[in-house]
Amino acid sequence: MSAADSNTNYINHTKGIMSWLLTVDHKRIGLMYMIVVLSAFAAGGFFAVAIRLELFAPEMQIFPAAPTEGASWTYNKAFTLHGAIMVFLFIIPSIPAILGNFCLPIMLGTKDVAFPRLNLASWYIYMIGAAICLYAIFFGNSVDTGWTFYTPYSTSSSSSVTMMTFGVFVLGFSSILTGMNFVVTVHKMRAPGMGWFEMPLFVWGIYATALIQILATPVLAITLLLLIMETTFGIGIFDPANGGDPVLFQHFFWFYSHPAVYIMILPGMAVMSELIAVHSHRTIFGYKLIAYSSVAIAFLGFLVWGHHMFVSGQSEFISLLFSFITFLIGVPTAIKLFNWMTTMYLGQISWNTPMLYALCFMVTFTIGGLTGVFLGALGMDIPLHDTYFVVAHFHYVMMGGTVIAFLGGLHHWWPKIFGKMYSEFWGKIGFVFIFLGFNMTFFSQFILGQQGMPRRYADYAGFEKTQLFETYHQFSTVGSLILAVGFIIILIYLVHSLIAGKKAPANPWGGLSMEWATSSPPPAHNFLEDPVCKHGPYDYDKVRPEDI
Amino acid sequence: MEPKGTFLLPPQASTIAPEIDALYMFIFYLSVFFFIVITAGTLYFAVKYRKKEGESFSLTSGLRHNTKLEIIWSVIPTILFMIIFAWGWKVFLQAHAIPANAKTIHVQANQWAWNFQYSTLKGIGNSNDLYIPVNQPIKLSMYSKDVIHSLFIPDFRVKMDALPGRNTTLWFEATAVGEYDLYCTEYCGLDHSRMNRTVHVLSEEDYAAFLADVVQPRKFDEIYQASCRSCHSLDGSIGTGPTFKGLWGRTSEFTDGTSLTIVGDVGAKYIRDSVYNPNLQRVKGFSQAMPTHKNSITEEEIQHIVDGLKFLDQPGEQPPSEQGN
Ligand code: HEC
Ligand SMILES: [Cu+2]
Ligand SMILES: [Cu+2]
Repeated sequence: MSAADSNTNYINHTKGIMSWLLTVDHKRIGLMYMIVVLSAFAAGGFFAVAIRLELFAPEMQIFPAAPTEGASWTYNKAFTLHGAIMVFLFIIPSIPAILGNFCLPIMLGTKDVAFPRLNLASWYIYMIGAAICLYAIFFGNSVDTGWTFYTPYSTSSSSSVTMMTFGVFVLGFSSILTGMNFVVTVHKMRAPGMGWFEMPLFVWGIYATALIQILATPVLAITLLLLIMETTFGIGIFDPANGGDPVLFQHFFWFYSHPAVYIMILPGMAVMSELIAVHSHRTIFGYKLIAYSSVAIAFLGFLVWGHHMFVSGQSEFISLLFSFITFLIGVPTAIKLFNWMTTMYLGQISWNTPMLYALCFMVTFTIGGLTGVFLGALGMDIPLHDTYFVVAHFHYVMMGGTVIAFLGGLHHWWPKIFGKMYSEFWGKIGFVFIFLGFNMTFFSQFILGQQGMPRRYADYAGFEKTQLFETYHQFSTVGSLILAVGFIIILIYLVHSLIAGKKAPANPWGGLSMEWATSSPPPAHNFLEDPVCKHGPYDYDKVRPEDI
Repeated sequence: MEPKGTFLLPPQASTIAPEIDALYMFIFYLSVFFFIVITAGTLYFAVKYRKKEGESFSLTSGLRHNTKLEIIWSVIPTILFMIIFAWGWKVFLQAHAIPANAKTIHVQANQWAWNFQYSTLKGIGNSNDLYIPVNQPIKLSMYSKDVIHSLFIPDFRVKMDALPGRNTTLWFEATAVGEYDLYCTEYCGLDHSRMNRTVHVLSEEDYAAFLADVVQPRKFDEIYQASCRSCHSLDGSIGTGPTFKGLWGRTSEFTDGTSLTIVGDVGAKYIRDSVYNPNLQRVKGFSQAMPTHKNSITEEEIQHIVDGLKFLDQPGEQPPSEQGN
């Protein structure tokens, strides 16, 4: 049922800016997310490079030591914005809102998500939230609290904390509504013949993520609302001077933000399952275990928030429980890695760009996971907490995991999304830059952290350890520049492919899930005829790609 | 001699450091092992089963399960995780079990400074760097005056948040004389990265000299509040002992029938005797309740007491003194 001969598709079937801004097509909404979310990534990346340049040497390099009349920028604002933009505006919506929106309905063999208008509304809510944040940054006094907004610093800071948190509050609704939409879509819209275990694992991962988005994000909303009330009306719930609790905010915040870590990584794992299975051309090993691990991780993710607070003075017994559950969550994660590895066994593996990113994930995410073991062990966390070791760890998970998987997924579905092939040669060059740059930037930070370098330091002059720190900081900064070049290369060849790329076939990778059964790019309603699910998404032992 | 660090870890300068580092090395070697297993396995398969150039897709293996394998790779990580968890817990308890003989230093954090307060029998001293004796358990009792800070000494492997409105504690025993970095590791605003100081680990003699140097004799108010208030009033009312009101210039009558007017050098000497040797002469109508303060009040402080009593009734001419309490 290939529609390759038809020349109309979802991109060109109607024209004009309004046909995009008022669209209810999940594919177009996915593309609109792609534009704004990737712009946010560029902005966050800009701050990242600024941070790395500042830390290239001790003493202040590019930022003033304190804000002055003319220049209100400080290093503290830069690292806050890097974190806040990357977390709230980029990573959380990245895979679900871009790839999820585009692929999930097609993979389920349906025309659209369950509530197409709500889907468009989510995009507008995202835009409003983003606009409020931008306003706080450029017309307010920006923010210098760190993306974690810890009280009582955040309630005493003179920066635009209220406005910024209000922006994040609004963004949260976009996340909640998208999650609800996906959950209903998965439950109600699967093509005839598709049971729960015929769904691609990408769908399972996005589904587990959506559950967390629905359950956890409201807690963030409540927390930020309390914070806004604390700053505006001084209700005193977090302020010890008014009988409040100085660490209560941290409990609230991590009650959302630890599950949010899984909002960020589960979609990455979801993409991984597709990349590995399709490009190894081999049925996935341990399908059910991978699917169940996603749900197990989603559930356990709610019970570990206190592992961010082992040195906050919380009770030792509570720390014991949090550490224990943290180790439990390591088990399904380890299982997934072994399953992906075994999936490659006896496969027919294409070394193309998406697969390279999948291989990279196996390396970098493994490092991210293993270093989490250090931090989860109570006594070991004491010296490592709030040092660069933590910074390196979560970048290996968030970037070495989610962003790498996102890049893999972007290349994997690029032909489907735009109907154009990118340059495989430049894809590999870009990959080499990303791989080298990433590891240089962040591996050195493990050593920095172990040696004692605290995070969120604008300067490290005048320490006993200054010289030691400087070496690793320089290494890291050079790495970050290589990484930046990698991203620019990717941007160039991807944009170039839109203009001059070869036309993509319907199924360039020989995949078996439903999105490969329709043309590239797909028609406005995804399929010309209503599809029926006749085989599992990874039945590479039974079905040939030409037969789907 | 100051201990040296390694490529991986900073110098070990406290008793807990080797304990934590042992756990570190255990997790480190395990991690290296699993990293090699996963990376090597992945790369091996990627190379071995690589699709040849121009080769077309064929049907591949349908291997979907292997119960034995799946049990192995669920159970082994679980067991290892439990070992690491238990070990981490053990070290954590050690790091939290404050020895009974630990000396307390009070820590006050604020944006963006540390204040360490040493109390001895001779008085109270303050410093911004932390000075401690070697081979002696030290307990830091911390609080913050404003936002949350965190005290971190990498070479001791200790860290604890300092909170507003709540006390937290931290202990360590330094094992080598030297100077070590102390950082604030909870982001606390503009000068967070300048909220660092040096820990000076001193030999016992040097530490004693440091204390002698830094500890200031207490002023009258402070001594009064701490040691005299329970028996002597300032307002004229009679307590266990006579009131201090109007003491300077008053004539005291003693149980042995003699009397003395408390003025001049004689008065000063009498006050000194009363503090150090109260039962030499006992004021008529009072018991022998007054204890000696030989071990808790220094000669310098006696001078402050005399001055304090002298000027008690002339508030205008009171010597400048900080309000105690
Ligand atoms: C446990 C109660 C108690 C405490 C504490 C105490 N005193 Fe006394 N003090 C007395 C009594 C009873 C007398 C009267 C009997 C005597 O002379 O021994 C007295 C007498 C004195 C006198 C002589 C008073 C007079 O009228 O001649 C002086 C001076 C004095 N105390 C100073 C101090 C100072 C200074 C302190 C604090 C460092 C102090 N005392 C703490 C009970 C106390
Ligand atoms: Cu601080
Ligand atoms: Cu600080």
